[in-house]
Amino acid sequence: MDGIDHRPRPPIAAIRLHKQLEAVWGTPPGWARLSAVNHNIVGRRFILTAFVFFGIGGVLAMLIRAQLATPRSAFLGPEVYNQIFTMHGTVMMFLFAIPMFEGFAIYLLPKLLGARDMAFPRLGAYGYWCYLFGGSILVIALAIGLAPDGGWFMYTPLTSKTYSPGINADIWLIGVTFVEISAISAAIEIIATILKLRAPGMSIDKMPLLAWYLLVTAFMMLVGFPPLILGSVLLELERAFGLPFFDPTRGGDALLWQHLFWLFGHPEVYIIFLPAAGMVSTMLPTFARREIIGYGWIVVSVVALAFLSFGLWVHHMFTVGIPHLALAFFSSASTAVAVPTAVQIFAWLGTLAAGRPQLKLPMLYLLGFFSVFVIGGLTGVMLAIVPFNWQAHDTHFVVAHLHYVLVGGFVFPILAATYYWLPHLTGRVPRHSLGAPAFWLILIGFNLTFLVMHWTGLLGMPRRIASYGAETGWEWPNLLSSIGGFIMAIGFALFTVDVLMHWRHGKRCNRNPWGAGTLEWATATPPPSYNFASLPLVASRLPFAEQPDLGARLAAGAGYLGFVRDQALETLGVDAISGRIEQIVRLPNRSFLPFVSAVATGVFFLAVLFKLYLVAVGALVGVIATLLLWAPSSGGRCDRGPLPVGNGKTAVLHSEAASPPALWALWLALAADATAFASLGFGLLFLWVVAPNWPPPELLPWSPWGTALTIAGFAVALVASYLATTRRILARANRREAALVFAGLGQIGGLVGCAVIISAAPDPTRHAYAAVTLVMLLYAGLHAAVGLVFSGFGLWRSRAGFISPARSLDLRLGAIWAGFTAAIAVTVVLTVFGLPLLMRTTS
Amino acid sequence: MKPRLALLLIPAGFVIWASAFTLLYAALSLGCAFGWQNDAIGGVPPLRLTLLAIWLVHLAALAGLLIYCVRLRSAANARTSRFLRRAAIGSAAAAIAATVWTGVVILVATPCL
Repeated sequence: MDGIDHRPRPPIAAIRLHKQLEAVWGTPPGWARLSAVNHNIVGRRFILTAFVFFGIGGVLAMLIRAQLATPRSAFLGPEVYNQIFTMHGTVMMFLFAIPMFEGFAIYLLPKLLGARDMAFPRLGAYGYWCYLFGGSILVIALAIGLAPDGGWFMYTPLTSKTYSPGINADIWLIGVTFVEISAISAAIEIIATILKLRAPGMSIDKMPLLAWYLLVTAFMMLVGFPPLILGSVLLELERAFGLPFFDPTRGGDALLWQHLFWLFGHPEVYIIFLPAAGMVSTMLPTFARREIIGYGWIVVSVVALAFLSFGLWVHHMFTVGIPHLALAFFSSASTAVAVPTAVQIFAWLGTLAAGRPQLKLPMLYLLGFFSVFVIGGLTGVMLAIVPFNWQAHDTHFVVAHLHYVLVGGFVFPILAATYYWLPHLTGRVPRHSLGAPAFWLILIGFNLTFLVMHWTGLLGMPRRIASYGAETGWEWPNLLSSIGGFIMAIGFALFTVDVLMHWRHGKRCNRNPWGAGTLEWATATPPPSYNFASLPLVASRLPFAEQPDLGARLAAGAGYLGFVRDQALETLGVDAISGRIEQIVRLPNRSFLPFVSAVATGVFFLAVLFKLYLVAVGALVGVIATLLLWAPSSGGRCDRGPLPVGNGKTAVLHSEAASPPALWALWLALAADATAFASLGFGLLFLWVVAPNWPPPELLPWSPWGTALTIAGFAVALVASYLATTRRILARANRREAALVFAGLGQIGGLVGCAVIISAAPDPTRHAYAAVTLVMLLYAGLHAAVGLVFSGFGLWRSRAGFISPARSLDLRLGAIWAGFTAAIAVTVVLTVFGLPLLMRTTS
Repeated sequence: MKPRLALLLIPAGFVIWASAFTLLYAALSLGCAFGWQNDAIGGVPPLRLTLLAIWLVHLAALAGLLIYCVRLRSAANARTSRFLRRAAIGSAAAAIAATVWTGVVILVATPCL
């Protein structure tokens, strides 16, 4: 049995249920739309905004091609050209590719998993506003001629204050860091949703492959973005306050930036590719009309790809003077990454070969993906080989390769996905009339642009130059590339027209026009705000294929949670492995708070940009205050115990569950935090070993009082926070509140201890050693400050009646934070006092 | 086999690969900076011995992981458990291949050139 009530229900009951659910889950029109947190709205906003940025990036690309079409072109001066190629890369990587995948993930994931929304709807909304505001800062800067101009990789020392004295580089650092908040938020939300908010019965081996891809990608984002965030903060500290992390005259090293950037930058390629590959793995079986071959092998290869992709960042730095053996490590990893990629490609080809493929419009774009991406992969293997890389380094060959990978590996699948899921958004099916000519224009234009560019590169044309002479022999290939670029642009314009036309004039269709087997097609099309009137029980990887009437039965309320309780937004939480029902997750309703928090975050970043540090501190307080204002609507003030979820099953509310999504979210945030801290440690080790002008002129003196206060303070905070969660103390309000007061005092003690050590530290503007030491101590101090907020928050939650032995989540979160902070503090103390000892020993 | 453990076993092989990769790169950088290639122990520079030790220890750990995964028994939820076990075996085997491939150059290349 599938566990769903099969008794026929009158249609009137289904309509009544729909009205009740819509009243709770829906978002009203007008200004109230700014309060939307529903994943349907937030996901669509991400997708639409990313397409707008894609258009802006495309126009910039056309300007580049117009400039390079002829030798000695006077179309753009070098200053403007530098801003345009920098912004083209920045827009496409940070404002198009990542947000586009986030948009698809946020829109599709709950439906694929059989849930009603993402795990943290307000976080998704906050992430969107951060993305919009951060992206807007960059685009406005471009419009007024203040855009960054040091390349999308922002290499130092070109982007250091000496060589980029204006605010152009600051705009990149601030704008991109702002956008990355959105990416980290999305990563946490995606992981928690996949692991906890699946339909009952959807064990980990029955998850749709796209969910596996997004899960792995989100983990990659969690550890891929922090090095760049750290690098951006360090570079901004250098530019704003003269702390010399990248200045070789004061113990810094420009290569440290490259390491931190490419530690993010190379996995970024796979962060973009993997979701697209997941979409391919979802669409392709539908058109092949058979289940995908090698589900397990694909999962293993995605995991392998995720790890291996972190081991190749130095292949962007093969010419900077690294020992050959190290180059060999990175070259090996760079070639090895082709193997798991090939496993997926052969699984797709095998599925097509074993099935009965149909050449529908999305499939046409998938064929484009195959041809373009495979060529990009092959040139990637060429560039992974060190001697060839030395020859082709920084030429247009590399530009051609990266466009084959990114356009082949992301843009073609996204175009296919747009056509594939358009019926889901519009209830209309796309036609071949404009979509097919658009495809051919894009494919032909793309190959004319970039296939030729391999040749231009092999003729020796460097990247990033604004003009070239007629005697170079590069004029014909460049002209062909430019013609190809404009053909491709016409194709994209046609695609846009087609999608807009479809929205108004497409042929109406019933749900599931492609005959897919995944759950997202079990909703109505377009979907209601709650996706499913009741939630399914999943028994296979393709539940909708096996039960074609599943959508109608769920709409009639025959599944789980086919009712509205307490006017609350409810979906089911399951065990991460087995898919067994574990909890009822109550989600927050629409709220202006994410918008307000994002505005406060924007004020903070703008204040930093314009060096209004007092305003920045005020804005930061505003951010924390508005984030805390999110809390009162979460959790409960009384124990409810197990509640019915339908079909004879019961579950507790998430606030009473052992493993609620918020707990996972904190662990994930700490993983990102630990990665940033480890990157800082790597930076210190790198500078010590590699940078010139070491050892430093002055070392940190031993500070017994500072050390004792730091360690004692964090230890007290840890023990008190932990005790507050133990059953005996938790049961009595006065005891647990006393414990929380002690925890707060401990954090204050740790904070003061860090300040005492900092007060004795050498001048951080004189040497990179002192600068990194200062940042490490500030890192520990910042964690103590957040720990203090956790203690205060726990105290307030306790007094407001949100805490009981059954409802201890807020205190458990505080205890985990205190433990992490203590671990950071111990590591910092050992590092800042241990390194001077080591340096004295080795010098 | 506890299912939660089995899920962690899928990335475990590549966590060991990542550890090998990071330690090899770090040891090479430290060794070259502090002159570990200039001395010789039994005719072999200490730097190469260090790198070999790191590589072999990680290969041994991976071999242990693979044997552990092969010997795992299925839990009550047989289908899910079987999937997790097979994925863990595949991942461990792939990680061994990747570790051999990335580290084999230690045997031939000059460390600090």
